[in-house]
Amino acid sequence: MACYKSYRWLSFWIFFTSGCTYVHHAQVGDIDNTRPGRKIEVNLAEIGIDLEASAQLLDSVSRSQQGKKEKGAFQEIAEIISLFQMGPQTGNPVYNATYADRLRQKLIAKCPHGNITNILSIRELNDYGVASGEIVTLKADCLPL
Amino acid sequence: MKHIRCTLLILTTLLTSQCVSLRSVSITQIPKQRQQEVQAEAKKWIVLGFSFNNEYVNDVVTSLKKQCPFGKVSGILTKHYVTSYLLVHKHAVDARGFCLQKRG
Repeated sequence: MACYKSYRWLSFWIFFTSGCTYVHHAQVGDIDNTRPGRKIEVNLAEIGIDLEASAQLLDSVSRSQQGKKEKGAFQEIAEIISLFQMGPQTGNPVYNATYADRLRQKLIAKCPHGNITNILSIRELNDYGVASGEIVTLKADCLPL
Repeated sequence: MKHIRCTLLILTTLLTSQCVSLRSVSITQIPKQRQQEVQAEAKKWIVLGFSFNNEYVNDVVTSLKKQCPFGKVSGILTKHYVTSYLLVHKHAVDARGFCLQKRG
């Protein structure tokens, strides 16, 4: 029994911690290589929700419980929502559009009195199926004045 | 024999046909001195969509720095593109800029 429990927790842990990761956008800024700098890195993340995957999951759970085979209510709701979620998008929708606004302050805080150069900005996604981590990462060098 | 040829032809077609999609493009301020161009590319092959880190992107900056020691790299055009083959994707970041060496 204890063994079964540990396997269950292990499978939960693997499910929630393993995820595929993809780059959406990468940008290299001007590079100042005239003197050595200190590497700094900041990142901000927000949880994104894959509406289609979550509707399919909820539908399959409710259908298996009720023994139904037809299209479920969650799928229909997802289809209605998708009607006004058109247009280009990067990653899954998040419910806080300003989550990346603090990036610059965070970067400055890591190098308050230096010159920040070699900025590599990466917009990436960690995919966990229904949810995703919508991440913005900045890697840079802090050059002392 | 005919079947083998046909299968080989289909396999070759499937394995070599590709689609490229450009994900992002960006450029920084272009300098007046544009004599020395430097270029770097970092790529990663992803099989069946399984990828567990994006560290390959860092190699672009490292490579540009190596090509321009004690200088500045400016006017950097960065492209991020994906080439899709059968079950395999190539994610690549290409950056090219101008190396400005310190005078004197």
